[in-house]
Order: sequence, then C-alpha cells, then structure tokens
Amino acid sequence: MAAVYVQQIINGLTIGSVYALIALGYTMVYGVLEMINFAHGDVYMVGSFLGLLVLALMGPSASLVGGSVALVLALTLLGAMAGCALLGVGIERLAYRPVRGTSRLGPLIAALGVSLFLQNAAMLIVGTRPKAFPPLIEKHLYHVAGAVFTNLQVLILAASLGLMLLLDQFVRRTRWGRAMRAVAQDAEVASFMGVEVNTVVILTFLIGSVLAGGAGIMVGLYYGIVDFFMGYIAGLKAFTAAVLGGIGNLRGAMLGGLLLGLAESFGAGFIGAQWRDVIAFAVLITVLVFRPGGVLGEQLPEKV
Amino acid sequence: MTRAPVTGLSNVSRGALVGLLLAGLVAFGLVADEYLLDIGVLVGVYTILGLGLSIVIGQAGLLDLGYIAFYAIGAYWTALLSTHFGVNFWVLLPTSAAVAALFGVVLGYPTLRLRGDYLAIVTLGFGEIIRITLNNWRELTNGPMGIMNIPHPRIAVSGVGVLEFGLKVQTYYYFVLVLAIMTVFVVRRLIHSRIGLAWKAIREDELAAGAMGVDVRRAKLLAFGLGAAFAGLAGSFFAGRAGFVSPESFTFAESVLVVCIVVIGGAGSLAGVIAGAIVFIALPELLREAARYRMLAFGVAMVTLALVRPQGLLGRTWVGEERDEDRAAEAGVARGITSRVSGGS
Amino acid sequence: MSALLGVRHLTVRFGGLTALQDLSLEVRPGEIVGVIGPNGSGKTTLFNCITGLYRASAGSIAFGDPPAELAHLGPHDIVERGIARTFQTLRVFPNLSVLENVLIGLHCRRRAGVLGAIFRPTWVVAEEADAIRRVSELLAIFGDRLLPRTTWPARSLSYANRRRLEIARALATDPRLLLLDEPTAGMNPTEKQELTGVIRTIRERGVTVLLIEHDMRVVMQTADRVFAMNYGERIAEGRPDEVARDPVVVEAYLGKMTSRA
Repeated sequence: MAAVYVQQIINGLTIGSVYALIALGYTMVYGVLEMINFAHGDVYMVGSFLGLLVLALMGPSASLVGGSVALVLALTLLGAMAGCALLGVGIERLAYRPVRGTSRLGPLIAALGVSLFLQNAAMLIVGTRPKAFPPLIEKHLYHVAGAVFTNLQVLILAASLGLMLLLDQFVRRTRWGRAMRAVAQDAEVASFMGVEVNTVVILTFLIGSVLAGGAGIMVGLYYGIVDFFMGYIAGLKAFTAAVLGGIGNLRGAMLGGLLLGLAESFGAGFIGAQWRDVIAFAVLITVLVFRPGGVLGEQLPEKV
Repeated sequence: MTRAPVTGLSNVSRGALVGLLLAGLVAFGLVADEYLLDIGVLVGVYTILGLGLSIVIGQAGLLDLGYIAFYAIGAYWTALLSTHFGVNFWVLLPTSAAVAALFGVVLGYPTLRLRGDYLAIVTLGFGEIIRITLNNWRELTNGPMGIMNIPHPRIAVSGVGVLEFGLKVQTYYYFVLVLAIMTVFVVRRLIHSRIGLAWKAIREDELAAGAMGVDVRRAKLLAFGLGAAFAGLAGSFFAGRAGFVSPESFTFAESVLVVCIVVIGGAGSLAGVIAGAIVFIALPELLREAARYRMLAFGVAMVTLALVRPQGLLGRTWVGEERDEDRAAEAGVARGITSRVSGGS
Repeated sequence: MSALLGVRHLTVRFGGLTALQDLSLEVRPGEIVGVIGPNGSGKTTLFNCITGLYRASAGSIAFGDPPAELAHLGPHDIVERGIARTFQTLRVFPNLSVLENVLIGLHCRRRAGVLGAIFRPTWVVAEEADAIRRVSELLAIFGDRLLPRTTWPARSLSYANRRRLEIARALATDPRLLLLDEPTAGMNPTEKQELTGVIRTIRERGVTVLLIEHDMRVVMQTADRVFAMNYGERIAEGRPDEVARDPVVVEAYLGKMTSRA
C-alpha cells in the first residue's frame, strides 16, 4: 500500500519541480512589477518547440557531434533557454513596458493579448496536433519501497533543484540579486539609490524565461509530446503554485510548485486523472479567497 | 438617468436612426437566405453575451475571464430539465437566467473583493472548473458526448394553432432579435439608473464610492449576477435552437471572444458592443479562410488596445501609484498578494 | 448634552507602527471641532478609523443617541448612519459630471433598485427628480461656482471648485457629522475666507463638523474647540486661542503655525 504513496510522491515531486521552475517566472515578475504575466506559460510552450527545432536542425549532424547524449541535450537546452530569453525580453520591451504602471488591468490585457498571439501563432506554425518529442535519454528504472522511478525523473528533480538553488543564491548574494529585491520593495526608491530599474526588469524576464525554457525541455522529455496548448494549462498551474507559496516570494514559488505537484499527484490518484486540472483551479480559488498571502506570505488582519 | 446621450444627435434623429435600424433588421429576416440568417442568429447570441458582459466589465469594471461558464450553465440547465423531466422551454428560458445569476452571486460573494487581476484569474479558474466538470461528470452531463435531442421551443395558442420552432432559422432569428432588443433595453435602463451610477463610481474610485455610502460589495454582486443572468438566457436559447449541447462549446477561448467583443468593440458603449459582435462574429464566418487567424488578430488587437488606451478601456482603475488609504484598507485581502520578493525570508 | 461622537481609547497599529495611541475625543452636537497637529500625527488615520476604512486594534467609537458602536462597521454602513467625509488628497470622481458626483452622495438615501431601474414606475421617476432638486440645492451653497457647471466633468474644474464639489458630495449623504480633511489646502486667502463661511453655514444647517486643518486662521474662525495631536496621541485640547498658545503644541509644530499665503 505504501508503494502507491511513494510512487505518487515521486511523480508529484517531479512534475512539481517543473511547475516550480515556471512559477518562479511568475513570482519574480509579480514581485518586481506587480503584474501577472499571463503569457509566461506560453513562453514555456515555445521553449518545448524550440527544443524540437534545435533537435531537428541537429538531426543530420547528431552523429557528427559524436552522438553524445549529454552534448545533444545541452545544446537543446541552451537553444531553448536562449530562444525563450529573447522572447521573454522582447515581450517585455514591446508589449509590457509601454503600459507599465498605467493601470492595473492594462498590463493584464496586454499579457492576455500576447498569450493569444503566441498560442495561435504556434498553432498555425506547427499545427493543432501534438508533436512527438524524441526520447533523448535512455530509460533506466530504479526500485524503491515497491515504487518505480526513472533516471529521467531523478534528472529532472536534480536539474530543477539545482537551478532553483542557483537562483536563490543569485538573488541573495549578488549585486544584481540585491538590485532585484530592492526594485521589488520599492522601485522608485531603488532608482534613487542608483539602481537601473529597466535593466532589473529585463533581467527578471530573462531569468524567468530561461527557467521556463528549461522546463519546456524537461516536460518534452518526460511526457514525450508537446502541443501548442500546453502553455495555457501549465501556466495557470504554475501561477497557482506561485500564489500558493506566496506571490512575490521565491522560495514560496519553489515550495508551492512542489506542493501543487504532490496535491495533483495524490488527488489524481484518489479522485481520478480527469480531475487533475480541477485540483489546481480549486487550490487557486481557495488560496486567494482564504489566505491570499499564500503559505509563506504574510497573514494580515482582515479589513473592516 | 437624466444625462443627455452624448452622441451629438438630437433625440428625434436618434429615434429615427434606431427605427431605421430595426426596420432593416426585420427586413433582413424576411429576405436573407438560410446561411445569412444563421449568421444573424449567431450575431444575436453574441450580442446578448456581449451586452451582459459589458455590465460586468464596462460598467462595474470587473474583468471576468470565465464568463462563458454562465452561458454553459444556462444551456445545460435547459438541456437537462427538458430532456429528463420534459419541462417546458418557456419555463426554462427565464429559470436558466435565474440559475446562472445564482451561480454568479455564489462565485462573486467571496471573490469580488479581490484585486482586478486576481479576480480575472479566479473567474478564469471558475470557467475551467465548470467546463471540466461538465466534461467529466458523466452521470449528470453525459460527458464529452453532450446532451442530445433537446426539444425545440414551441408556442401553442389554443384555438389559433401551434408554432414549432423546429429547425426554422428564420423563426430563431426573430426570436433572438426580440431577446436582443429586450437586452439592450434593460441594460440601457440599468446604466442610466441609480445602480448604474453606483457602478460608474465604483469603476472610477472604489474606495471613494464606498466612503460616499455605496454598498460596493452589493453593487458588484449585482453587476456580476445580472451579467451572468444574460449569459444564462443566451445559453438557454442556444440549447433550444441547437438541440444539442456539449462541453466543447464552452471553452476559455469563447470567454476570451466575448471579452474581445466587449473590450475591443465596445469599450463600455452599447453600440460598440453590438458593432463588436457583428465584426467579430459575422466577419470571420463570412470570410472562412480568415477565421483561422481570428484569435491571432484578437491577440494583436488586445495588445494594441492596451498600448493605445492604457487607462481608458475598462474604466478608470488606478492610474499611477496607490494611495496610502488604499494600501492599508486593502490590508487583509490584497496585502498578502503584495508581499515582496524576499529571497526567502 | 450627550456626545454625538465618542472616541474612546482608540489605538491603531500597522505592524510595528502605532499610528494612534489610546486616543479619546468627544464631539457634541452642533459643535465645530478642529483637529490640528504636524504631518504624520495621525489625524487622517483618526478619520479613516471613524469612517470605517481602518480597523482599530483597540478602543471604541460610539456615535449617535443612543450611542451605537461603529468599530466593526464598513464604510457605507457608517455613511448610512450619518457620518460623511472629504479626503485630504481630494477624491472626486474625475470623469463623472458635477451632477453625478453629488448624486452619488444621495445613493444611500434613495431606494430605486434593479426592478425600479428596468420598469421605472412613477415613484422611481419622482425619486430621480427629487434627487436632482436636492443636488441643485446643495450646489447652491457655493453660490454660482458649481451650479452653472453641473454637466462639466469633475476633472475639468478648478482645484478650489473640486474641493467644493467634494464637500457638496459629502453633504448629499445627509450626514449628522461631517469630517473635513484639510478642506482649504491649496486655496488662496479669498477662497479660504469663503470656505470658512461655508463651514459655518453647514453648522447652521444642523450638521456637526470635525475639521482637520493646518491653517490656524481658519481654525480660529470656525472651531469652538480644538484638539491637538502629535505622534498619534492627544497633546492638548480646549479653546482655539488657548491651544494655539500651548507650549507643547507650539513645540510640536516647531513654530510653523502661520497660514500659508
């Protein structure tokens, strides 16, 4: 019996860490700009497709590379991350910066528009049917307490945690990390202290998009298929994870992602897989209504 | 209420214009072929949806991204009660509106106090929950296969005869025309009333409105519930006309479509919403190849609109920094949502 | 006579900051009470508490006769009970007309609902006409400054006119107690004189006034009593001339008590 639980935990943590990577992008942008980047999920989707593109381009020359899986994987990741970075920064520059601070809903509308655009552009370019993602990594199975997990799951967990750790250290110890935190606290005062706010914003989008691109590749490898619509659902779930952990809080996003992954895994196990997505939405509404600060956020007295 | 309509036209010429328009719409129903009438019915339905949502977005300033859920609720209420219990369509039409309104109030009660962008996401979530539930709860809704053989409306007047709506497009065209005209009438009256003014004030400055005695929560619930009612009404019509409902008619993309009609076409004005329905529904239907690019174009249009009218389209929500009263006053709800990037502590 | 407003041991804390500390204040019917104090002393916080925008950490706010506790009520409930306010930062509805701005004040005193809006029975039509009459009446308090401009959007008015509009809007709620938060801020001396007269007129109409002001001349000319604050506490209370000379008060202001020219 325990084997089922262990299995669900493993699966939950794996998908949860992917959610966490995407959630970081949402939470950072919200922390710095107080805006919900509705299009972030679609950047993740683009990352997957960029991975496909890189692989397709490398196709014939894969053998030239010596067939080294690690190298192919690295190049794919790099390509996806770089592409997403460009995309994310581009979106910020073109669609978000002009409406920054004008109203609360203006940036959301702009983000919604960008999301629509990316989804439909992808649909028109690659078609409505899901595409297969080549299994680059040979599967090895491990057995623990009656549960089975694969080396891919280990890899994803390790890579995600590694990236999160990197980000955590970056934000806490480096100059630019401090600058980001300053802008998140109070952009105006930060600028008085000599922080170049626009650069910080660009950096925020860049990091978030890079992580999203990485997540896209991981999901491609894990599930083996990608489609133009995956960004929408994953994006909402990742946003839920960010809110769950306390929006604006980096460690919260990481925690929230893992928690959501676990909740989904267990929930799907008990209620049924088709209700997977409902779990995330229900969590979202519940958190926002009852504890909007999330798990790690502040709990403040209710207004009159 | 007493503000003269701001169109630069005198009341007489306005009346004449409206009369001409109505005559044209009636004539259209008589001369157009089935294909065009079909489009006409579609435009009619989306006009009702657009007008309903314009109360929520345009008047009260609440961004609802899951509006189509209420349309679905109306449609399924009609579908279920007519196929399982044989309830008369003419009872189901108004009750669908009422049931949808009820859902609107239930959803709105805990959520309408949320900040604008959070409300948008929550409503999106609600819309998806409804769709997924309709898709998965097979015992109730028959899942993705939907509900078939929904009886079409019929009017039986003893001594005179029976009018079966059946599949007669023309009949449905006039039916939706009547519903749409009623909707325009009601929405107009609401906008120019005491409650309409309260909505305007909330849209301008929610805090000040509350400080002047407006029960903001109640007003928002009213807008939300009324908007949902119109969607439910449209949904009931849809079920009666199509004879068949399934979850795939009620996706997020549909909600976005109605939002586009209101925001891009309407920007809060009634005539604009109607124009939006015509443009966004009729045009893609008529230009079949272009339909694939419809959503793409919407995306671009939304971004452009946000850039060009950053403060205008949804009424004046906050421009510039927040004021101190607002920050502290939103303490319980919004503050948690404004906790900062802390790097972990 | 018993107090109209009784604030007792009011304490307001925001996290680590104590904005109001054990504050007690009484306002009797028909009075004009001035509240003075340097910036940041908690005057607007006091107003926000009374009007339900902030929730107190401790203490009570009693209003009316028999006294009703206000501390747990929302802003619109408090307005219904008879307390209205203006804002230090001036918050008229910029895109609504002068008429509509004042009409909002009447919202809580009217009863037309959804059905009334749709079907417009005679009583609703009559209520609307009555409301417009009331608006004109209120605007007339300011002579011909606002009356000729009822269709103008509020944002197109001069600064002083917007301040006046805000007062008219607050009066439309038919309050027993009116809270004015720095109503003469940014006005020139002539405008201030005019407003002083308006404040007295308001009192003559039976409305009690609680007035935050920096301009001591305005305070002297209108207030029966003055309540001085600093750091969220009361530092002095009494007749205007007494309080103005109180060394504690003078020190709090560091001598900056001249009215701005």
